[in-house]
Amino acid sequence: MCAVLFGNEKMAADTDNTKMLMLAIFAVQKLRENVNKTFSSLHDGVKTSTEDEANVDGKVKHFVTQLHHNLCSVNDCFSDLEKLTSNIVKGSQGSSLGVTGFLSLDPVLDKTPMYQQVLQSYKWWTKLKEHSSHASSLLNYHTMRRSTSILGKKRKLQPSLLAYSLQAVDQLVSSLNRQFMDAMVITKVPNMPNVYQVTLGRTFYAIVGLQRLLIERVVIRGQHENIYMDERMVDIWTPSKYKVFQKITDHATSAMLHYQPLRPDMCFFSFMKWLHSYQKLFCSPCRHCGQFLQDNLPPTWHDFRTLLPYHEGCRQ
Amino acid sequence: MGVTCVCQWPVTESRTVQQTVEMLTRRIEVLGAVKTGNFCVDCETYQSSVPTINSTKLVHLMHNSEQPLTCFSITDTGAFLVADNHLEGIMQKLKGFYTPRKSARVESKGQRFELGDFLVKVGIVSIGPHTKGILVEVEYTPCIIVSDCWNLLSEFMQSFMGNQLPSMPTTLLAKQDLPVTPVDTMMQYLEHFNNFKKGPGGR
Repeated sequence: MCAVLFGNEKMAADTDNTKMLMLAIFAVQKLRENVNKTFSSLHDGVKTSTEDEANVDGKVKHFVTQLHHNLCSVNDCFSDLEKLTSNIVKGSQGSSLGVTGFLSLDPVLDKTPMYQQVLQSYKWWTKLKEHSSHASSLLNYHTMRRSTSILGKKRKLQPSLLAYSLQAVDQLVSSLNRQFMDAMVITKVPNMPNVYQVTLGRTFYAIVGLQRLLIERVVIRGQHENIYMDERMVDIWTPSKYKVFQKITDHATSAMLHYQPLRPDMCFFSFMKWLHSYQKLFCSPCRHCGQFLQDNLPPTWHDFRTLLPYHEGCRQ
Repeated sequence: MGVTCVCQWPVTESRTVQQTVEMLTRRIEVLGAVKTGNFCVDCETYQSSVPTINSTKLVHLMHNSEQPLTCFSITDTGAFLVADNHLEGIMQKLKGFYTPRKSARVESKGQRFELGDFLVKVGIVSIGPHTKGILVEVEYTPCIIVSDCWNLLSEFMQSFMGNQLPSMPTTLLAKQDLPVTPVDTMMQYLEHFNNFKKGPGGR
């Protein structure tokens, strides 16, 4: 009962407020009209002509009374407007934000813009919620196969990864070496377990860091670049000084992620096969534009499935 | 150190050497190349003072600002020795056998540009005080096998040389499938320097 009464009261207050606002708008219009009139009469000034000089005094007097009258009406309008505004402001702001609305009533907080900020963030948050709900409905509609498959397989991947012993890894590496013959040689780096050096003809070296069969880090360096940090350790972190190998390092990292959802041994095998396709890096033109160079780089992107060379800007 | 091609740039009647270099520089900079300082390749020739049956034997001592601590010595027959800069001191000691040829110091001096992995050097060749011509050196730094990247290098050179594209230098032709070394670059320079010495005087 109380709530109904309260609601009614609120509604009545709202309608009152709208009425007041309308009145205030009219008052502002009236005020502007009067101010305009005053200024235009001031702008025109006292009109005199050489013929009736005697009448000048009368005209000036008339002008002054006119100005006085105008100013009085402006003043009246302004005080009307002030009265109206003082009636409107209170209580109307807080309605949209419930209890938070009382923040605006706190006189101490008047000096801080807290309430305005709260309003702003509320608006922003509502917008965000709206956008995210749209996005989620769209994404649900086009279910992405790849991301779901990753989620589904990751749980399977972890235990099976441990099932590969170090001997199995060595076996796989030696079978790969047999398959690629001399074109690509995978060798174990001395003093560093799980790090392999892949020598691809005379094109480049790849340093591959593994966790069992899971590829964790790949760096590509030029044939004539230093790969040892000191006498014992291979440097697996410093990127190559050549732009082309920096680019291929980036692509190798994405290839590593691309093949990850596969079975660990398949992933390792596919990745090495992809790396092997770089054997003719400098002498094969882009499959799309037929040129060797784009942005002064050879075709650094090799398709993950077809293994064909493309420039980064030419890939489809 | 990658595959390098050194070629002579013709100076036409309508332009001086300086104007031609400026024109080349502008073309290279339009491609987006960045100036990265100066370079200098020089060559001093020593001849044997002990008379031999056939002819006098020559040894060329060369320096390259890319390898500032190294001295390359190349004989007429193509044998070479790469050593520390102190080699000149040894040649001083060998005065009785090899004497420096007078006014035979040739050098190519100019600006060095970088564009991605490419290095471009435009040098003015001078023998003593006389300007002889222009040599352009283009290097593709990541690759060390000539047959692998010659097409790529040609495509790059064409972008600023147009129809003046050079054919493969004889030094590189001989070792297409072997890794290149800094000596190969010096051999190319030496070949051009010898041509300049034989050729007509510069402007």
